[in-house]
Amino acid sequence: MKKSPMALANEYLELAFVLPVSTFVGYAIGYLLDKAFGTHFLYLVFLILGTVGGFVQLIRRFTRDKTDDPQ
Amino acid sequence: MPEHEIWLTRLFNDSLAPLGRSVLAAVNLHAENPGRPWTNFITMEILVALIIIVVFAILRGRLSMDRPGKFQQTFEVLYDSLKGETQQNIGHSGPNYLPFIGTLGIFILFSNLIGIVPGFESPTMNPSVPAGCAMLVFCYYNFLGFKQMGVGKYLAHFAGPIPALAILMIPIEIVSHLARPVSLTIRLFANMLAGEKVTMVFLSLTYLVAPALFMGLHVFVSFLQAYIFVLLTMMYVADTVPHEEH
Repeated sequence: MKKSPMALANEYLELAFVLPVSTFVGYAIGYLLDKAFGTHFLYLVFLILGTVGGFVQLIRRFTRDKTDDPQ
Repeated sequence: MPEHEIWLTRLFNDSLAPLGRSVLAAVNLHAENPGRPWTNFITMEILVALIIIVVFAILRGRLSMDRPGKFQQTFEVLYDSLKGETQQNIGHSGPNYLPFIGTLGIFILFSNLIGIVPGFESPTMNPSVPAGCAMLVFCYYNFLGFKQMGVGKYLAHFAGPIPALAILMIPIEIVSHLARPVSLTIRLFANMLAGEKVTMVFLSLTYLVAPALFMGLHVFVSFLQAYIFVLLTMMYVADTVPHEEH
């Protein structure tokens, strides 16, 4: 079923949030794990994982839109 | 800095403070100020819930197949548009999820709009309320995933299609899923807070025209943010439940 312009606009607005929020959440998880285990490197690992996660979401969305597009 | 108490919160704190303290104690929490445990967003949430119950009780009493009134038609339009969106975003099984998504949407819409009424403020201006709604959405779509795909299959989809990359994909997927409630919370809370603050700034400058324009903008943002919240909920549900061909 074809999506309404509002729904599409909303999906693309969401994309603007995906990358920064994933990065922030990754950092927050790493920071909490560091505090829990007394380590000092997990924040960096999860910061990178969060950034990669954001990119994965972006690429997944673009790939899906390309597949849905009838050309 | 203690928040400014609106008249409703003052009423609650003056007459129902022991009840507020008992409710908090029941969930092992304590108020910052034990003498005044009720906060604006809690009292406004209670008021919004009561308004919704009253509005729908009146609507139910007036439902008519032959002569639908304007009140009924307004809510029919709302219902039809939400039903259409669920079908567009989730598929033919979309309307099955309408009770949850619709209830959440109406609660957020009413919560956003009540800030327009002088003497009240939007409960969604406080991050706790959007966070509560976002956590509910997070639990709901994960519950649907477990229910419809089974625990093993749902957890396996976090590993991605290539087993060798599973160790990398699992933390990435966990972070991506945890980012969803954060994103929902920040968007709703920040937009409602910004809308309210802009209106208040212009209201402090002049009582003519400008505040009315920004109140109009606040109404538009209220509808838009409620719509965005439910649409994203539908997208998350659509990502979780098995797809059928349209």
